[in-house]
Order: sequence, then C-alpha cells, then structure tokens
Amino acid sequence: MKFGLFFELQLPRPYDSDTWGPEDEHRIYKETLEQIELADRLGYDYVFEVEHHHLEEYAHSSAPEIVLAAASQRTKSIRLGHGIVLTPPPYNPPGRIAERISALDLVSDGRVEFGSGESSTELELGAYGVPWDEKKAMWEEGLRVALRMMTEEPFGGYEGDHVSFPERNVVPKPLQKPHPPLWVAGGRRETVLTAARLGMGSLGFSFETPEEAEERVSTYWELMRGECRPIGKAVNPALCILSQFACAETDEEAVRRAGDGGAFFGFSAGHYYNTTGGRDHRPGRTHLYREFRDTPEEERLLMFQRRMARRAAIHGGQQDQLEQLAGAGVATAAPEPENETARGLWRAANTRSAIGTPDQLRDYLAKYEQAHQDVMLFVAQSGTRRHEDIMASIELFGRTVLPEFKERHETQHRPWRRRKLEGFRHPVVSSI
Amino acid sequence: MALHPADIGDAGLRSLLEAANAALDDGRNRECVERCADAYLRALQQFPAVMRGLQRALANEEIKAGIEAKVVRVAPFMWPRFAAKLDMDGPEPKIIFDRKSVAFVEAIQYYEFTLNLIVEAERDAFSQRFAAQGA
Repeated sequence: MKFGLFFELQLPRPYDSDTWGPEDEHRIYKETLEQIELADRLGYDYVFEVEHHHLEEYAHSSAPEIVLAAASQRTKSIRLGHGIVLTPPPYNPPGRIAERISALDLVSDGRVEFGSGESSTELELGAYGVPWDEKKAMWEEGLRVALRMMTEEPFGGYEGDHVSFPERNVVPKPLQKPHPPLWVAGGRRETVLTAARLGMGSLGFSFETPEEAEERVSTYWELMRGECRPIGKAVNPALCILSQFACAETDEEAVRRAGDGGAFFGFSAGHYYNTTGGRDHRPGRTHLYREFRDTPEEERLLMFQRRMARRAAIHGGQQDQLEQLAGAGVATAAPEPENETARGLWRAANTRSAIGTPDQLRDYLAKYEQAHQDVMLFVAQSGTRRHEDIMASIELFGRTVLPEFKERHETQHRPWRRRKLEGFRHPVVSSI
Repeated sequence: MALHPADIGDAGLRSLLEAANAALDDGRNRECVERCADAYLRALQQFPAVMRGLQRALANEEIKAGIEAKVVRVAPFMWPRFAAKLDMDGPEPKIIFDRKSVAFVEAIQYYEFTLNLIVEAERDAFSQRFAAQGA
C-alpha cells in the first residue's frame, strides 16, 4: 500500500475574531507546501488536493492547480493529484482543463494524477449554475471532451448538451501518454463500482473499515476486469481511501497533535453537506469554528446525530432510531449511520483511524494492506492542528512505518496486481 | 460481489435487466434507462415492501423539501432523479424523461440501482429490515 497526503486547506476562523487575520490564508498555503516538500523527501507517494468553492473554513483550496504547480518545483518524486478537478463545464471548461492538466504534467515531469468530480453543495452548484439533476451528466461530458482534447491531434470538435467547441489543436499535450491516470471522487459504494465500470481509480471519501475495503476491492476488480467500458484511452485500476492522521511516540501525544482536527472536519462537512446543500450558510458571516467550539461535545454529538438522521432519512438509514436518541438526550454511543455518506462524515468526526503511535498505526494500516487497498491518503492538515505537529507526524511516520509498507508494496502488492491484470484487455496507465 | 441480471429469479425482470445491460454495452444509454424504468415500475407492483419503502420515503418531510428544492437526487426506494423522474401523481406510477440524452454514468447508476433493488427485494431484505426497525 502506498501513502499520501490529502489537503482541503482547512482554515477555521480564529475563535475570538469574526474573520481571519491578514496572514492566515498566506500562512496555510505556505505551510501546505512545506508539508508536501517534507512528504516528498520522506518517500510518501502522493499528494491530492481538492477543488472546492466558497466552503469557508472547511476548504480554502479553490485553485489546486496553482498549489500543485508550486509543489512540482519543490519536489522530485511525489505524485501530484487533483483530488479533484470539477469537470462540469460551468466550473472549468474542458479546454482549460486539458491545457492545465497537460501543462502541470509537463512542468512536473509527468507526475500528475487526474482526479475529477462534480461537487455536492448548493453553495458551489448554485453559484456556477450547475443543476443538481444534471451535474452527473455534465461531469461526464466535460471529462470526456477534456480527455479527447488531450489525446486528439487536432481535437476534432464537439457539439453536445453542455459543451460546444470547434476543431482546434489543443496544446500542450500531457507528458504521460495517452493521458495521466484517471480518478473519480465519491463517498458511496455505488461510486466505487461506477469507477470500475469506467476504468477509473476510485478516490473514496467514506473512511471505510478494513472489512468494507476488502469487499470493495473484490467487487471493484471483478467489475474492472469484466465490465469496464473505459471513459479514457487508458484505465487506472486503483483504490484509494482517506484516514485522519496524527503520529507521535506516545498515544497521548498523538491525540494531542490530532487535536480537534477530526471533529472539526466532520462538523464543518456536516454544515455544508446536509440536506439543504448548505443553503443555511451565511457567506462571510457564519462562524463555523465558534459554533463548533461553543457547542458542548455532547450537544455536538446530538447535533451531528440530527444532521445525520436527516441525511440518513434521505439516503437510507435509521432515522427513527437516531431521532429518538437525539430527542431523549442520549449523547453517548451513537450508532454509525447506515447511509454511507453520513457514515463517512461520522467516522471522520468520531473515530481514531490513523491517530496513534507508530506501532498502533502499523497494526491499523496492515489491515488495509491485507485487503489489497492501493493507496491510503492521510488527512493531516485539519481543523486547528498546528503546522509543527503536522510536520512531526509526517516525519515520524515517514521514518518509522512508511519504509516497510513501501517494501511490501513492491514485493507483495505489485505482484498481486500483475496477476489481477493478466489478460486485461485495456491499456493501463497507473502509478500504483 | 458484483450483482448481475442472472442473480434475478423472476424471468420477466431478469430479461429487462439483461436488455438494459446489453444496451449499456452498446452505448444505448437511454434505452438502458428505459428498460430499467420498466423493471422498476414492475417491481413496485410486484414487491409490496418496495412500494411501502417508497411511500415511506416520499412521505418524509426532509425528502419532500429536498425534492421541492431540487437538491435531492437519491433516496431509498426512489427512482433516482437524474434524466428521468418518477411521477406518482396519476393513478399509476410512471417515469418521465425530462431530457432526450442520458449520460453513460447516469445509465450506470440507474442500472445499479434497479438491479440492487430487485435482487434485495427478491431476497426479502427490505421486509426484514422494516421488521428489525419495528416499522
């Protein structure tokens, strides 16, 4: 199994101020670049960065191509992942996507991972005029056209529902041929299976357990081998998942380093990814971090339960049970929501995941390795975690645990993948 | 394990899903969704637990508000609201396409949804789940 870092560029407002200090955004960007540099030196394989818009405090990463381009000049080996590019054309016209991905691939000497997605909050969709019931179709059309632009010389033109573009030679072309490895983001099992059917890597945001990972790996490969209809010119058989992360010599110190990162991650995600699609957000005014801190932990749990109950009601789950718990003031031992998206948020907020000593992390991660998971991305930068603590965690894990996993990746996982790919009928472009 | 049309016991439903799968293979996305829609409407009639689950979902205030606000696309038992929508206003449920073209990824989602729904209904999974929830 390979490892990487995953960045939202979270920036909680200072508790005692209505807005950020003049240097706060500057600081978080510079710290992110330092963390990527360190990860590269230590042998981490990936950095993935999101594209979100207007999700204050939760994600200040709206131009990942800029950060990844900067990172490309400070690093040597680490793969530079868009996690993801929004391909519905109102966000990014396919021509610009093709040009940017290709240019980044050139300046990074072929290190781009091309993840794509559609977004899921009203704050984003509403601002860019992407209808909820068309965003999936828009994602596909934008992506298909961008891939054709990267590979056709000249691009033969296209007239579709959401894209109209004449014959042009879109330059430059990417260094990796026919195009960089493709990924699609999603939190539900269904999206993982769709990724397999489209010949794409799955960027799974559901914080799944090793048992769930094992089932998904098995089903993913079954579909990839038997029912893949590639969206691009080459497929990327790969499964990647997320985990919260902090590492220290003692358990107590690891928990201290993790701080409120996981809880704020879940709280703020719940704020934006709820049934109103974030419509109750007041731009520039809502103070998420203060709301988070001022809510006693037990009430936070109840609030979370109510939000998740609403979400579960929509996506499937134990609404009645959760509502009863919330109404009765029972604040402990909340059951995991049945619905996958809700469960992912719940786990991000409430589980330890990869937070602990090197030995604890070794044991925890070995289960995913045994499930044949390809990549684990660490959410190291989250909430109010301090840069120094994040760097120390990256360093300790990188020196004590990472090398043995890298070795087994070469000696065990790669041969396993080769066997899986025997007789595979599509070209493969993958960094796994 | 991935599910396949062969996992469906009912010959009529299996045949519809086989046709949907073949259409998917040939890039006839809309036809795939039409066959899935036929199978879904038949499943509503054939499996009381599916109809019960759908009614329960549609009666939920959050889902109603979400559909009204056009932010809800998927819900348990509910035909996904992408290129085609479920219409429950008439004497019989029907599915109405609100655009001509259907994306491949939408067709996949409809196919997976319908296939899973029918296989689970045949295994009586929903009745057991309702019983477990005391609903």
